[in-house]
Amino acid sequence: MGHEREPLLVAMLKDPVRVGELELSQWDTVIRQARVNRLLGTLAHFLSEEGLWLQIPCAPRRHLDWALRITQTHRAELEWELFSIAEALGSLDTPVVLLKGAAYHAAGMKASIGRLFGDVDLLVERRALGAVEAALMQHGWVNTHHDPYDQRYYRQWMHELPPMQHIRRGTILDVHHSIVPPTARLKVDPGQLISASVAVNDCPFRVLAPEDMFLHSATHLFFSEGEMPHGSRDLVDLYLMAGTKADEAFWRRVQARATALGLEEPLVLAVYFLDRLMGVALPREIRAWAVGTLPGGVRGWMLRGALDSALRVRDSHHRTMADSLKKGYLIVRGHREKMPFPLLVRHLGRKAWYGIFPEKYGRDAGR
Amino acid sequence: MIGSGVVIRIGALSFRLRSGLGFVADGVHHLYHHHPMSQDGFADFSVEVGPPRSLRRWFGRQACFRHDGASTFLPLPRDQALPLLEWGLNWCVYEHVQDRLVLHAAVVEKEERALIIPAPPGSGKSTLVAGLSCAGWRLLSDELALLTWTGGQVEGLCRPISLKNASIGVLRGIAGEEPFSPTVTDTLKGDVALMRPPRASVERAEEPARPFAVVFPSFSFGTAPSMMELGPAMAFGKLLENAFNVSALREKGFSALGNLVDHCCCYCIEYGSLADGMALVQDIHRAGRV
Repeated sequence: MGHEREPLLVAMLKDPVRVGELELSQWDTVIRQARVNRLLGTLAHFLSEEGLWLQIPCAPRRHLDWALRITQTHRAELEWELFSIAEALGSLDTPVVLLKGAAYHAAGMKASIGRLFGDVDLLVERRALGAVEAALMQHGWVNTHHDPYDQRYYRQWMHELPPMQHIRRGTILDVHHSIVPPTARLKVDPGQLISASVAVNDCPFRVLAPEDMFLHSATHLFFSEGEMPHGSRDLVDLYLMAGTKADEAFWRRVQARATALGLEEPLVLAVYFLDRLMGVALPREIRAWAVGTLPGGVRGWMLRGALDSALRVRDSHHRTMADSLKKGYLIVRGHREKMPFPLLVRHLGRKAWYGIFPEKYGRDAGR
Repeated sequence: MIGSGVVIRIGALSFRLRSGLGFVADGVHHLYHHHPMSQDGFADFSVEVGPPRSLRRWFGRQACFRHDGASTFLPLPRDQALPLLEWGLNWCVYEHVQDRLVLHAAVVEKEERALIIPAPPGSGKSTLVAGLSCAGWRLLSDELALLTWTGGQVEGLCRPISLKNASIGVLRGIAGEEPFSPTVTDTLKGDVALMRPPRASVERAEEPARPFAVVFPSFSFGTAPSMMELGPAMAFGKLLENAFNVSALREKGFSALGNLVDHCCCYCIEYGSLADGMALVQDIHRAGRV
């Protein structure tokens, strides 16, 4: 596996002590890379925890300080949100598993540090969906997609309810019953994930087991919509979960779990890109396994090229024509992974038709 | 301004400006003539004004504002590129600065007493501060006031003043043609011209000032001048409407605003001409001396 020249931001995240070496013009690059890739808060926390704060020149330090303040606000808001969700779902006798950012936060993981939180994601048993949705509605969450087709799209084909929004706070809650759509090529049994999930201290929620959390994060990155708006940030999540030492026992557990859950494909891609773009310390066998299992041929080559562009730390939001084409490829691939081709054609055809003739189907009636 | 751009220092912040449009570069050099400029070093914000990157660039003559390469507003007709740049620079500040309470307000100062003038567009704020800046007041800011936590100090961003419609002619009559950018017609806000801030104000741009009064102006042509004092609670409510990051700052933002209204006298003024407005402000300033 070839290694890229490491972007300054990655170098600083991996070895914060090196900030002492940076010149002001390099700080300009680091701050810009961190902001563009939504890692400013992460960098700020790492530097402050390592006791390096005063080694940072004033001007860049101010940006890191702004990021710290914003992440504090995000944490406080997330905590309030989780408290409110707990209040709504507390009386239900069903496991409620937090996913992604909210889970990293509740479990006190390194990946939650300095993070900007968006929507909250929950995983519940499919048979509990109705009760969960009703309880949330009683506590102020409402359905955002009023359109009958969208409702059907989510409820019949997707792995989540239509996103719910709190009527007063405006926050979004995604209630999942699996981590991939039932229509997707990858098949996962959510029951296995829920039964392996672990309780969190002082909070009524559960989180996925560490290996499952890693696998879910990889699956979400490599097998969801395909757009990857924060690709490098998501790869850094995986990097933080993998740890800085080549922990053979951890990797063996992850690999065994991937086989049991049918999530080897996302694991292979995660290992490959963690090695290539983050230079993660990996046991030799897992690295060799990933290289050997990587999709080959023209398709594999295209996929690797496109992912390389989507996961790389950027200096700017600007995309070259080549990057835009690669992004387009990933979106198409993401949708192909999400549903079988005939269903995809039907779905996109429907969407396009409604887009052109909205009034015919009363989509906007009552709006 | 082509290539790596220029870094302009504005108060405590620095902006790297880039534009492939010749008239934007000319305008920036004219309007920021008194500001310190350099070619490299650290910049707080890297921004750019140029044609859209999409296919649209070949059809409409448009301009986009980009920060870190991302377009933050819808494109505007190309001749509005200079006002677009100014709006974009404001956006950079109120979207990112979190160690100050950012108010949508102008700030002027004389004899170590600063007046904070918050107001919605169209209330005559810019015209008033442009007039005051020509009458010996120090201009700290035309659009954004940065307030410290204690509410005891206000920092400005001494940048060009954005004047609209009839005000352009009035201020040209006072300051002459030279400090002005060309007038752009038919913007969302009508005609817009930018006026270069006085050299003396730019040279002191990094110096904060002590807020002394908060003045909510309301201009309506031909109205007789009047002044009304506001209680702190009323002023707090009105300031809240003009505070960008108060919710992100939580308690800190709330208490900064509280401290401000505790320390300041607050007024609403109504006036029908620039001269009347300036006279009211002078009265407020004088009253504080007693």
